[in-house]
Amino acid sequence: MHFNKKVIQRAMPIYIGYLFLGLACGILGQQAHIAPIEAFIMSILAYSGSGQFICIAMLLDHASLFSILITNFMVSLRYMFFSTAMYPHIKDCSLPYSVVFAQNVTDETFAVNIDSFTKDKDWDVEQGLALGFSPCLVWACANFIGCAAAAWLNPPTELVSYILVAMFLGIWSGYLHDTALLVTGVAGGLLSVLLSFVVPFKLHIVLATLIVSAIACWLEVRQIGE
Amino acid sequence: MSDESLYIYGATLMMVIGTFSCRELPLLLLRGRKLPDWFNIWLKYIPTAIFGALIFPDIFLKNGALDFTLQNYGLWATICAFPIVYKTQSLPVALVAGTVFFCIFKYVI
Repeated sequence: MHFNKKVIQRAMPIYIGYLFLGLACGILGQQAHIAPIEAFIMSILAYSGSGQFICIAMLLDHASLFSILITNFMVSLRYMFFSTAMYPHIKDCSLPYSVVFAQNVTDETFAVNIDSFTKDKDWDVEQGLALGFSPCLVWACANFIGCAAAAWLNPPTELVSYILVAMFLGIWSGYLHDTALLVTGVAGGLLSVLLSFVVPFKLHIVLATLIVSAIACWLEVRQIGE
Repeated sequence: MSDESLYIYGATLMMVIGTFSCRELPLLLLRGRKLPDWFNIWLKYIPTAIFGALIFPDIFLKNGALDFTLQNYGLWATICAFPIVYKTQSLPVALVAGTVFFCIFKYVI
């Protein structure tokens, strides 16, 4: 891992973003009775922004561990795409090194890394790993601080749980590039509400996501085929 | 260790299995081969479906039942904030707009 000035310059927007998101995530985590050290450990090991926010929402909802696993797996599927795209740049590394590298791929570190690999011929995996891992430390420390501060500040629960919804709304809007995506999201939401009356263990989130995304995918594949 | 800690560490373990498998599987199995086209199309629809599926029950349901009363502040705050959030597609805007509308419904109306 090679941590230098260029890495810091390129990663600065990620540090700032993760600092504020991490503080928010820690504060919300405290509402789900996560201790600061637990928030830190989760952030280092899982290192997944939206994954952790979703996990907290499900903890607050007393969801089953199985339901948390499947939902998290589905949110993380996009990492498969990132790892695949990153593969040509790390294929000459040893297996343990590439495993660690892939573990530090997030939406943001992927975007900056792939851009650096394409445009900067001096960019290598050593700097790439530093760019992936250093934001993880910022993220984990911010989670720890947010979680510790929330226990001390004791913010109103009702408002804090709504902020989690507002956060999902903001993340969701980033994916709404066309009408098909908006319709898919709304359909997923309505189906999720309906399913919540009939399926146990909070599995309605997973089921609604699977059914609606599969139908949307099938419709698009069929359209391309015609 | 308390039941609550056990639950949280269990959830952490699930998170690790979920994220780790997605990040590492392409390296170990695909060894650089391309993902099939249908998989990429499917991938495009998962985030929007998952966030819809998370948000709607949160705002429409209270204690497991539909709630369209004015006391369901989150529902009305979301309906008011959505056009702004949709237009700007910005996370900070969503946080500010959502919080402001929530407080208006809770403390003013």
